[in-house]
Amino acid sequence: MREEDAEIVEGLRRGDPWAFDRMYRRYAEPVLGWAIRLGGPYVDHEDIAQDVFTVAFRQIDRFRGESALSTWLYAITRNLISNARRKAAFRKLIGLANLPEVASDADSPEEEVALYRRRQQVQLALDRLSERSREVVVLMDLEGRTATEVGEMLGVPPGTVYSRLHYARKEFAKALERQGLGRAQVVGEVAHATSGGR
Amino acid sequence: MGRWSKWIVDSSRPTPVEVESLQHPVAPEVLAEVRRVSAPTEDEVQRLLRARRAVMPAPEAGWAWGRWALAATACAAAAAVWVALPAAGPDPLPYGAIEVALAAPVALGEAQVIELGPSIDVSGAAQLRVDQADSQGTRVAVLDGTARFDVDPAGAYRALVVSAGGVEVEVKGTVFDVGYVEGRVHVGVERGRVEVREGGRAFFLTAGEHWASAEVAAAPTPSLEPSIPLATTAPMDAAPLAAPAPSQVAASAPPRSAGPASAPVAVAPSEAPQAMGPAPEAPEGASASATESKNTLPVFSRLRARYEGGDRTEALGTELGRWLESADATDPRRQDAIAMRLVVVAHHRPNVEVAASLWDYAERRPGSIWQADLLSEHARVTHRELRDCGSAVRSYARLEALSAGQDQARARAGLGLCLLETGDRKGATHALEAALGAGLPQGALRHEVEAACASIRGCVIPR
Repeated sequence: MREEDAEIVEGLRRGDPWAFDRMYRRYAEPVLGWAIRLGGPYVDHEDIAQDVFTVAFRQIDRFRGESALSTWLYAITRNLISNARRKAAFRKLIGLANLPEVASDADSPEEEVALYRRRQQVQLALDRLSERSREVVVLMDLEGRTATEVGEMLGVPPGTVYSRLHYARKEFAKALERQGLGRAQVVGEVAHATSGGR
Repeated sequence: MGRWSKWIVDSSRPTPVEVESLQHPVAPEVLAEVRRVSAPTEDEVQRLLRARRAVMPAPEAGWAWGRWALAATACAAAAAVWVALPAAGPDPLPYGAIEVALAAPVALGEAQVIELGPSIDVSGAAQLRVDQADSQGTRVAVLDGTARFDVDPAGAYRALVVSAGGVEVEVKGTVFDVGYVEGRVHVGVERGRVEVREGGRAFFLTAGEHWASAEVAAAPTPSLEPSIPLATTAPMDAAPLAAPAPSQVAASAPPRSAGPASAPVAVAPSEAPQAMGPAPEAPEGASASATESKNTLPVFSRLRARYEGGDRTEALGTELGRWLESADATDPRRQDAIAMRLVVVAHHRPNVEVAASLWDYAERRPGSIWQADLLSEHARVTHRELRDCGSAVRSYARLEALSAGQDQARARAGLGLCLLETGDRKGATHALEAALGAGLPQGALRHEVEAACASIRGCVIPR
């Protein structure tokens, strides 16, 4: 475990709010990223991220320090997301869950709305993957982690990570195509945007 | 027969598109877009960080955890640990959008916020120095300009002492601002109350009250109250101070512009790099804004904040030139202003003289905080504008040594590209591979580096 993480864990065990604050700041971005990418469009990623930190603080005594703090936070995120997804799936099944409306009020600039719409498409594409595939695509291709790191986070050997990745990439490519995010569309849009929309 | 066999071979060969889709089922452009849109935005991260205060445990709550069953002895033990807590050593400094180092001046732009620990936000346009920020308390010095302090009255570790020009302001959970403009200190309280200490006397200011230090016209009757310690759980509350003395407390806005501006002093010729030339005439608007800022906000802090925010416009160069003309010859900030102006000028006039000035200035100040800026601008000008890789290599090599992370990867990339251009293929291979291995971010530079690496036999692009 890194020195800074060890200090955070030590502080959390003492109930030190400063350590809680440090954990928040250090891991807010990755935890939110996991929640967005693994949670899907029906799950409120900010709520999940908030819960991850609360659970981490409450259960810090269960953290044995054998893995990195980030790995432990990932495991918490994964569990919370899994529960949230199950609930969302049930709500969807009974017709209670709709895709959240992307905010288009005056406070949200146009690009922001476009970004959230595009994010929803990506989340829907990721949603089509199996949980195993989604995790390796997110951790390796989107976050750029090594197979060893991912293996540690998922509790599998690096070789397994690579073989999962091989199939996951193919699945993901198809899912993106179905969401209108194939190479032709994306490259075309980027070219359109850089030419000033002419 | 030969024609037939050639046709068979050609038609059974996979097309480049097929090869590409096999190698990269998801095209790199698509992956980059997916990464971009699915990454949390700055707003989302900030929202989460703001929300943390709602779930943050109070210090006592942490201690109470699992110790409810224990009686008086356990309480005593917990108290002992609580007292021992500060001895654990200083906590690292704020890790928000602005990085702050202890005891080093930091320029704060108007739209920027420094989060000092769990309960204190600092904003405003000012130059500050954070002397302490840990579980024992926070001490900040306002060196120039006006800073606004927002202290969560219910937060943990909210003990804060702000000093400015011999005046100390101690906080009791409030929102207030402290200004130090042209030798005068002013304090204004928006919410809660603060304790002001100046030359052995102390008094409280409450919401809506303002106070300014000597030389400022006295205002209506002060609404002082005796300095009584407040009931609070903050670990660093002050002991009661002496009875208050009358002071200049007003219910109006603090006069920030009283007093003359400092007299203009010519720039020492040896100090001003030759290539910069004289400070150009400011456009009308710029001149007006410079005058206005001289009277209200700290000009230098604003200029520095603009520079650090990425402003490289000619207007900024002009204003820096004007500031240099008017600044005192002994003002330590002159070095900063010259470095910033050099970089801005190089941005607009990338010529041999400017490049030489950048190099000389960086050479003369090896430990300066501006080294990286000066060297990367020198590298950019010589490599990209002047096509002088022989000179650029020197800067890239220095940059590589003094930077880390993605900056280091960029320096290695530049070094590799330049070495390749000068014919040093072995050196180029080493630098390009190192750049790619160090996580050079996706983008034009990475593409350039990958292409360069691919053109060298034996250069491996890490996957």
